[in-house]
Amino acid sequence: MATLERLPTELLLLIISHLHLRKFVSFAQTSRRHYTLCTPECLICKSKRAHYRKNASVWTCISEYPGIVNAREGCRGLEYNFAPQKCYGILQLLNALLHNLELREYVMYLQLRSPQTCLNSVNIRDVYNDEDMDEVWPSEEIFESAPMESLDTNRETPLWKCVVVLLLGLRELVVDGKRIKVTHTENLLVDKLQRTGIL
Amino acid sequence: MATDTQTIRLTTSDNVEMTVERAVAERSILIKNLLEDLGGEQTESIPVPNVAEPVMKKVIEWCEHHKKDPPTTQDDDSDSRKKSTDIDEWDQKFMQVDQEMLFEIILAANYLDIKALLDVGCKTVANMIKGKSPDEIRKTFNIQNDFTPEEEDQIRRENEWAEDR
Repeated sequence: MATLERLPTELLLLIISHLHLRKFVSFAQTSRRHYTLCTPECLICKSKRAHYRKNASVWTCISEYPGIVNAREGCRGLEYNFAPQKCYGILQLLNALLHNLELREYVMYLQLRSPQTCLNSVNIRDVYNDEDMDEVWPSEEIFESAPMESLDTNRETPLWKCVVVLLLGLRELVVDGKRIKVTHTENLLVDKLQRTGIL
Repeated sequence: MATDTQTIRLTTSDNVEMTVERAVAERSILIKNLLEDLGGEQTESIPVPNVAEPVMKKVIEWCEHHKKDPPTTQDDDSDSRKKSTDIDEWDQKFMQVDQEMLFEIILAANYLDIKALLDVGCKTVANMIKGKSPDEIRKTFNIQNDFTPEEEDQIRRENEWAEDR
């Protein structure tokens, strides 16, 4: 008898590639097989952290790019803080991320473009156009749904938040009740984040 | 005037021979490539060892309906990602089958390399997942919960952020 369980991994991946993140997360919680499928091991440290969980593995893997972040503690990605003076630029960071397998899969799950497009891309706007963004995730939803501490003016705001802003193409960021328009230019974004004290 | 439609014969896994219009069968890239490799008019029946007759009938029904569709390209693939929940009305009705048949169709589409049918099948399953909690998904697909209570609790806590509030 054919059941969902009988489908080979590649077909299950194809099915879940049609799910938006929240439903993907629900599916991941149904069984060990599905959880494993949805949480590939980190390429760097080989741990099995849920890569969709606040981009933890992505965050871990970018630690391998020298100078971009102050990485010291393996997979404790969410605890890393952003060191602005060590950042070579958001775009460079994004390029690093886009060449990361974890993110490639993450992007695939988010129903954007083919992994190859993402891998080949050097410009985030090429990957995430406005139409995609509207379909993938309402801009503020992630900040409402994730139990992250508020995006206050703490200078140690984790970099992943900034990355999420860019990766998900959010055009608006709410900081202390004030809305910040996210521009398409990474330098302007960095500038705005710095001026508002996030970086 | 009678139309001169070329047909081929397929033999399913349960040893049933089916005669199919070539243009219809060629929606399957596997069969299309096979016919091209063989060249000329195909007189022998082509074995399809992974697909049983009831499933093949459904697949052929889909191929007949879609025989004039343009071939799938890589670009179509990325477009279909964008409209993940959209399924053509005819296809929706076509996919109103029991789960066993649904998964057999998906497996057959994968084996026969019919990307558009595979996509419709996967979207149908994805739509069945949408709007459901993990427990509801398990019930829908008869998935055994093999987490220990502790693991389940931990995973639930890890993912609380994604729950609807």
